[in-house]
Amino acid sequence: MPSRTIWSVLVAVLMIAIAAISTPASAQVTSTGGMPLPVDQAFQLSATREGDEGVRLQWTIASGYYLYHDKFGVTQGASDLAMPELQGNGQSKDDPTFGPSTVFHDHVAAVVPLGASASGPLEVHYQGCQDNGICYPPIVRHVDVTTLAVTDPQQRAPATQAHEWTAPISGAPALASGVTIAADNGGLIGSLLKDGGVAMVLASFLMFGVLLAFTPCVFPMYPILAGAIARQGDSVTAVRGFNLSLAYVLAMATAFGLLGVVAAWSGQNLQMALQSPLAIGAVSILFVILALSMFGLFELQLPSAWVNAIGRIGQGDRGSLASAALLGFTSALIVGPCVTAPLAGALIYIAQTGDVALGAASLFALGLGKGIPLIAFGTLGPKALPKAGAWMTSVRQAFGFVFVATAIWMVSRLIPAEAALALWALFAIGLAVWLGAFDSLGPDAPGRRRTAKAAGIAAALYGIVLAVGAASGANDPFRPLSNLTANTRGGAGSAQALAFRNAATPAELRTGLAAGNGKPSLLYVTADWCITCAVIDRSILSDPAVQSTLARFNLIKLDVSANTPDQRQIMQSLQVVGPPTMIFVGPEGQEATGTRLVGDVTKATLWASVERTGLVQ
Amino acid sequence: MPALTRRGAMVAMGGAALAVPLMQRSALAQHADVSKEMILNDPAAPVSGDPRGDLTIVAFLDYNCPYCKKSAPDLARVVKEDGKIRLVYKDWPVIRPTSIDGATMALAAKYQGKYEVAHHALMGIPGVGVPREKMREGLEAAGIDMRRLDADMTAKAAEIDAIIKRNMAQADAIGFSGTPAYLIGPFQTSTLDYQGFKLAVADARKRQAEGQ
Repeated sequence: MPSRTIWSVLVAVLMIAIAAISTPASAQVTSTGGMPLPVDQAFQLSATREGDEGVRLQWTIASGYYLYHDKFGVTQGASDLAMPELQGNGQSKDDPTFGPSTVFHDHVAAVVPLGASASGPLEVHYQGCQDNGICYPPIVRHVDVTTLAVTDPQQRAPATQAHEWTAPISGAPALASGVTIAADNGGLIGSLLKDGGVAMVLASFLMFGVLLAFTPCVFPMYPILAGAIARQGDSVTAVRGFNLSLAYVLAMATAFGLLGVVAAWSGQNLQMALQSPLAIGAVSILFVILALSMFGLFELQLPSAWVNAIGRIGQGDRGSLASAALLGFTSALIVGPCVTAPLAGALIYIAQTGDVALGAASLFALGLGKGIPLIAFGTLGPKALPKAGAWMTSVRQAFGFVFVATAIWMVSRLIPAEAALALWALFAIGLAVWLGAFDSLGPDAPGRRRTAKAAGIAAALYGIVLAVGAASGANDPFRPLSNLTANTRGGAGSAQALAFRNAATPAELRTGLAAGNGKPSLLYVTADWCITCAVIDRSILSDPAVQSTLARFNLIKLDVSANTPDQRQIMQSLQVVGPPTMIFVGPEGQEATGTRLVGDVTKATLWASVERTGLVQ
Repeated sequence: MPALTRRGAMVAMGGAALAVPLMQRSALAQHADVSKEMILNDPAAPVSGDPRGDLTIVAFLDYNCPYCKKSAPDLARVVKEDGKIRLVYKDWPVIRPTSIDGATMALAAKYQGKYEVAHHALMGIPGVGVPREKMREGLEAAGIDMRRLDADMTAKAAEIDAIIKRNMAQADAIGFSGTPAYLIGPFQTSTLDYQGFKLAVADARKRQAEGQ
C-alpha cells in the first residue's frame, strides 16, 4: 500500500486510540463502529519453509477478527493447488443474519506442498471480517517461494479523500465508554430454538425458573406468599392455598413477560426503572399497610373509608386473589428482581428477530418456573398452619412482622445504612415486646411462653446492639459493632477487600480504564437492590483465591442503583441489561470474546471466564 | 449484456477473477470522479430519507455483507425517526462474486422508482454468498417488475456500470477497508447499532454546528 494510505489509516487508528483510552500507539484498537484495522494488520500472513517441498502459511488474526474457513485458496501459475488442510480452531458461527459458516479466530495455518513443475509465486486467497464491524473484500497475497516474502499484488488507488472524514469522537458506543464489546453475548433463545423449537425454548426457561426459585432472589417471596395466605384466617384449605399462590405466581410471571415487552419497545429495563424511590416507597407503604391489617389494626380505629378500601382488597374470594396477584406483580418487579440473565437472553433474541412474543413468552415461562415451588408451598403450607382460635391471631401477627421486615428491607435501599440499622433495631425491639420479652411469667407459665420470652429477649438484645451500632455509624446489620470493635471504618463487606474503582459516568469509566496502565480490567455492574450481586459480594468476591486472581485486574465497579442517564448510557453502550454483569476488558479496551458473566456468578464460571480472557496467567 | 457487465466488474473488484491483477481498478479510479462533492452529491446515486435534510449519511454497502444486513434495520429506523437525514446509497459490491448482481439489480430498479424497495429486499436476504437466483426471487417477492428490471439492466448497462465503478473508486479514495462503511456528516464509521447511529448522528450535527 502506498505509504500515504498507511499514514492516514494510522492517524485514524491513533485518533480512536487517544479518544477511547490512552493506550500505547502500538495498541490494536478494534472498535465496533470505529475504524477497522488495515487488512494486513487484521490478518497477518507469514510464510516459512516446511521441509524441502512445502511452505507453511501462517495467519495471525487480530483479536475481534475472523477468517472464513471456505474462502481460503492457493494457486501457483495457472494451476489451482488443492487447498491443504487448515490447522486451527475452526468454530462454527451461526447467526440469523449470517447463515452458518465456519470461521477461524486467533490463528490458522496451512502447509502447501510445492509441485515440482510449477513455478512463480504462490497466490494465496482468503477473506474475513471484523466481529460486528466490517467484512473485507477477498484478499490476495503473493508468496515468493524462494524468499518467502509476502507481497500485495494489488495496486490500490491512493486514498486521496482520506482526510475528509474522521472517526467519530463519541459517536460509536464503543468510544463513548472506552470499551469495545464482544459480539457474541448470548443468543440463548436462538440456539434453543434451533435445537428444539418453541417448546424447547419455553421448557428451558421454565426449568431455568425452577432453578432460580432456590436462589436468594426468591426467598423473600415465600414469607410474602405465606402472609397473603395467612391473611385468609381460618378459611384456608389446600385448594384455597393453591388458588392464591397460583394467582400470585401468574401475576409474577406476567410481570416478567411485561419486562421483556417493555425492554423490547423502549430499551428501558423496567425493573431498574422501578427501583426508583417512588416505587420502592410505595411498595414499602403497601407492606406496612398489610402488616397493620395483619396486626388487626384495621378493626381498631382507622377511618372507615380506609378500612373499606383496604378491606375490599383483602376480603372475599376475588378480592383476596387480586391482592395475591398484586403482591406477585410487585414481588417480581421490585422485591426480588433477579432476572438479568434470562432477560438479557430474551432481549438479544428479540433484538435479532423482532419476535417480541416469543421473547416475552420465554420470560413468562421463567416466571412460572420460579413459581412452581411457590405454588407447592402455598398448597401444602396451609395444612401446616393451625386451624383455629387465638393461635391463628398469633400466626397472622407473626406475618405482620414479616411484612414490616419486608418494608424495612425495601426502604433500606433508599435511606442511609445507619438509618436502616436504626429501623432494624426498632423492629427487633418491637418483635421482642410482641414475643413477651418484658412480660412477667408466673412460675406455672407454659413452655411455649417461656420459649417465646427467651426468643424475645434475644431479639431485644439484638435490637439494642443494633441501636448501639447505628449510633456509632455502623451500617451492616450482621456486624453492627464493627466500628467499636475494630478500626475498619466504612463498609464492612468483604468485597471491599478488593479495591474497586467506582465509575458513574462514561468519562469516569474511560479514566478508570486508562488507570489500568496496561492491566486488563474487570467491569462489575452492580446495584444496591440486586440480591444476586449481594450474594456474589459475600460468597465469591470475599474468597481469598478469587481475590488474589482478581487483584491482577484493574477493577471497576459500575453501581447503577441510581439509574441516572449517565449510567443508562454506559449500560446501553456496553449492552448490559442489568446487574449483575461482569465484563472482562483487555488493555486495549476490547472485551474478551465469550467471557461476559451475566446474572449469578460462581467460582467455576468466574475461573472459566478469567481463563478464557487469556489476559492473566 | 448483464453477463458482460458482471464479468467486467468482477475483474474490477478482484473477486473470483483474481488472476488478472487489479490494474484496471486503479485505471478506473482515474476516470471516476472521487471528489468530495461527488461522494456526497452524485446525481446518479439513489437518495432516501429527506433529500433536503441537514445531515447526510453516505452508506457504502454490499448485498453479501453480513454486517450491512445486520445494521440495515437500525440505519433505516434512525433515518425514519430522525426525519431530517439525507441518506445516500453507494453500492460497493466487493464481498462475493454475486454482490455485483445485487448491486446491478438494485440500481436497475431505480429506473422503475423502486431502488429502496429492491435495496431492502436484498438486505433482507440472510447469508454471505446469496446466489443470483435467490436475489431475483427476493426482488420479485418485493414487487419489483422483473421484466422491466431486465430491460433496464440491458438498456442502462453503461450507466449502472459507471455508477458502480465510481462508487468503487470513491470508496478507495476514502480508504475504506471493507463493508459496511458509513460517512455520517464529518465522520466515517462502520457497523453501528441503533443507539450507535443515534449518537453518531447527534455528534455529527454538533460538529457541523461548531464548524459553522
